[in-house]
Amino acid sequence: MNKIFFAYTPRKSYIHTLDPRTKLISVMLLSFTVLKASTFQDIILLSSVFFIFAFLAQLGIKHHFNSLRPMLMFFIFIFIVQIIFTESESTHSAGALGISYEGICKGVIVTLRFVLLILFTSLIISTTSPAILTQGIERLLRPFPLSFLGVSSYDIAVMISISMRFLPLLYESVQHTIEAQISRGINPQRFSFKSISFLVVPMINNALRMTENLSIAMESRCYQGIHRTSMFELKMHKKDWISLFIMLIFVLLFLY
Amino acid sequence: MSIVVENVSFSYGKKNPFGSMVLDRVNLKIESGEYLIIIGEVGSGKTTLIKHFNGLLKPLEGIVMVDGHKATSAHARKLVGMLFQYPQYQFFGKTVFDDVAFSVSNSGIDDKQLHEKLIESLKMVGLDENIALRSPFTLSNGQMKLAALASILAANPKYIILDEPFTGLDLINKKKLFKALAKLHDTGITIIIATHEIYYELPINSRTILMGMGKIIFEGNLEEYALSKHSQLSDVTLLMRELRRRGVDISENIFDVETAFEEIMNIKKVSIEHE
Repeated sequence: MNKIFFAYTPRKSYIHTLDPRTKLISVMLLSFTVLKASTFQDIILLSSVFFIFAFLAQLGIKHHFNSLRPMLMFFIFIFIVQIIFTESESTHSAGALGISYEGICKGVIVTLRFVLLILFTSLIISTTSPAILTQGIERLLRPFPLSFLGVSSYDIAVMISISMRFLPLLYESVQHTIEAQISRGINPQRFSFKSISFLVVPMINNALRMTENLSIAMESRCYQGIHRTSMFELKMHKKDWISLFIMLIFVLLFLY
Repeated sequence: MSIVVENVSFSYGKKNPFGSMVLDRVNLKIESGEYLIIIGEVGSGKTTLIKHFNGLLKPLEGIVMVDGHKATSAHARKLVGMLFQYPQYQFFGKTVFDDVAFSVSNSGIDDKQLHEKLIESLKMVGLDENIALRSPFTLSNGQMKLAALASILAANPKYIILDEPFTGLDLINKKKLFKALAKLHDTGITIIIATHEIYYELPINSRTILMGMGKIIFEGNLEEYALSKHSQLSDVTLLMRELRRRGVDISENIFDVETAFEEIMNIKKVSIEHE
């Protein structure tokens, strides 16, 4: 069996027991800092924050790093694009494509920014059950007037949580298809546009099939979306406020 | 000419000797033309074992050879066709025709021969040629399995491996698949079936191995397995034995409905003749 990425792993750690709103706001704040990070020192500081959180989550560093594997091609792409398109006045530039030392540095930093974003996302998803996460998103969105868009905060929360829930399933279905292709003589490592279509066609079909099954299951259980009440209302505890306060101070110090 | 599994161990987890092994020093030789049934509970290691036969998994220890070639080699993969448990992951053509033709379209045959090959493959598995232009994703589960089998057949494999082929099939499609497999076996193709459930419609003298905790714990034919301590007797066998106990002259080792029916009809004939 392949490892399921981005899946909730129950524990009783400090991070697991935090309110989902605390985790969501913290990850949002951290995302600002990640996007603002422009030097290696910034990246090291944010990585340290991640390692502290990973330690508190008690899931092991490897668990989070596994979630980077499906994105490997994306990271390589980002890195190459940065190297090629970074303008540099440096005399060290070499080659027809203008690869420079600055370009490599920027490529590394931008790629690491994305790596950190994924790692922080993995942290929140693997420590929060989808149901609680949905409730947290819904509670955060509730004050916003979304009715003019024809949706409720709950609809958006459910959409987001279902998308996250389907990521590992989609990855698994791609793995199954790759296995089937290998057994029929296709070399998935040999890149061609035809091989992409061989992968994309079954993936879209399976995604649509899964979506259809899920929508039928939801309808059969009388899902309506709007005006839903919850069995357990979320409650912010003292440790949530303390964690949020620390996070806010860290972000403010980082940004200014 | 055979598939040889020598001392194969495998684990999905940590590659150390203390991690739980899904396969634990398995030795097996599958001769060309055999009909092999691999039975085992969920998690016993049967799917892991069959994935070694066409190189989808590499053993941590030991070696798997197909007709003298390493199972991971391109040559060995051409010899082994695999029908997965979930056929919907196996299709990548827009139509059944595209999918079946995939394996043969690169072998230099013309359109007419390709069409003939397609019809032949579909007929072999008992499917109507009218479905050739349909998207494989619109087929029923049973049809999907049969169409996937047709796609594999088109590539002329020497060994066909089927992972839980009867799961989720209705009676009609199950019968079609039993028939197709018997036909394929008659043509000399080696059939290897991994299943968690025993089906007495399969050839009763076919070689059967039982897997448990990553090891082969029983080896014999299907009849021997059915009578062993590892298996529970089927309702049909119990009924026939009860009839025998009550004095009806009937064989005690009957496992499937069709043979039981024939046997009972013979008794009737005898009694009519006797009267």
